[in-house]
Amino acid sequence: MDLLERYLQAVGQYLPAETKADTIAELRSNLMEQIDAREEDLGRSLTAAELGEILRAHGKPEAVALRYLPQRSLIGPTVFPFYTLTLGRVLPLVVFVSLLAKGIQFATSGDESLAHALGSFAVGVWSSLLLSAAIITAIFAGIEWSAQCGKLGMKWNEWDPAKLPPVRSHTAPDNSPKSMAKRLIDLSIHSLWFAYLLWVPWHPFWIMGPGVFYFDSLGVALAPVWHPFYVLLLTQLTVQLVMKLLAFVTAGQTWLQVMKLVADLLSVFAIGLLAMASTYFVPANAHADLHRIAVVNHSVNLAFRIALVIVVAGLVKDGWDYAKRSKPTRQLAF
Amino acid sequence: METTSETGMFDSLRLELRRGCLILAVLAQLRDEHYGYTLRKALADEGLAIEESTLYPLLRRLETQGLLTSEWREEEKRNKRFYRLSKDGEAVLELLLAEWNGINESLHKILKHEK
Repeated sequence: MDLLERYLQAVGQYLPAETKADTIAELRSNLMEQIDAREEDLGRSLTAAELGEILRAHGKPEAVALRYLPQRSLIGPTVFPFYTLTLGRVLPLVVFVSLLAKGIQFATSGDESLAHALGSFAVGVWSSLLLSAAIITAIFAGIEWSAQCGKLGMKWNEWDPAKLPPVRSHTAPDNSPKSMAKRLIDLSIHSLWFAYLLWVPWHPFWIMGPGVFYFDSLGVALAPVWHPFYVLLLTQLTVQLVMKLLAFVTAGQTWLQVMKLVADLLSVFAIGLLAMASTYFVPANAHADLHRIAVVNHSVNLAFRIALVIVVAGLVKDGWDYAKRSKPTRQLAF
Repeated sequence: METTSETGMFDSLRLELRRGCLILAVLAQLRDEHYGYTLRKALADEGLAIEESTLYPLLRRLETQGLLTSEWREEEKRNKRFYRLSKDGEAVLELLLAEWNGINESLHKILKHEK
């Protein structure tokens, strides 16, 4: 019987002190009955292995003890759907607000690097998400507790059908393709713009017109950062050119959204590259006004930081649109 | 051939189906006094086997809800806890039986073409 006592002791470890003795006494009594009945059948005492078999069938000590504990859940099945719905709505909002706040801080601070801004956002957004989830969980646990105590009563499920919002008129989104003429004009303008950008590096007059002479008189030249930017810009325009061509092919429609995202991503890289740089203009000769160049560089950097926030917001919006369109529409089960 | 997921799903549905019936059976059986072991045996003899780990905590829960009363008493030189249906338990059992009979009749009508 040493094995039985060891078993009961193991069960007792997981039971609350106030009911432990009573529960163990009852378990002992029932198990003893079972053992007696088995011994009566066999006409002899049970071996340790046979006793072990009875205890194994009775259940693992932790599992047996858990069944005697009251059912505990922080949020019950009635409140849980509202809890998940709230989390699903609030957490994306937390990410958006954090991103916006970080973007404004990055654009206005002027001396924070992009890598540092992204790093601090990635770290900060998790703590914001965890804190928000904890607060929401605490609120819903409170609601559950109130409902359990009868303080909310039946009010939780009370509702008035008359207060439902009126039926919205569903206007189908205009997904019809552009006309052939519009697509041709679109492609022509884009091709001209592409050709212009390929042309201007060797003909700066076509960027600023007569202003190029004033630029030369200041004694400044473009910094090396403009070279990778130019390559990224041309890559983005190439992707957009392919998009314009795909617009003529029906089978290519599904790729348009993906390519739009790629083009947006390239914009972010290009503007990000400029926002991370601090020097856009360098002195071209010994007579250049270094103070004025420093002021211009600082102002241009600020402008690119603001532009980066705008293109990131555009990318997030396009990503959201793409995710919404990719998501299958819910269907009724019946 | 039956897959593991189908077996798991069947077990889960079977458990759900049995849960309410077990309470009804335990309450009905405890119109007469029993202690845990003999109750389990009586139910098994009627074809409704219940695991000890399910039955004993269920008895505690029904007692906490006021549907059963219990007392420790010595029988055959051993202390045993005897359970019996309380007054509230009797009333609840009547209501549950009425509900059960209604469900049973409805199911018979719905399943009239089934074997």
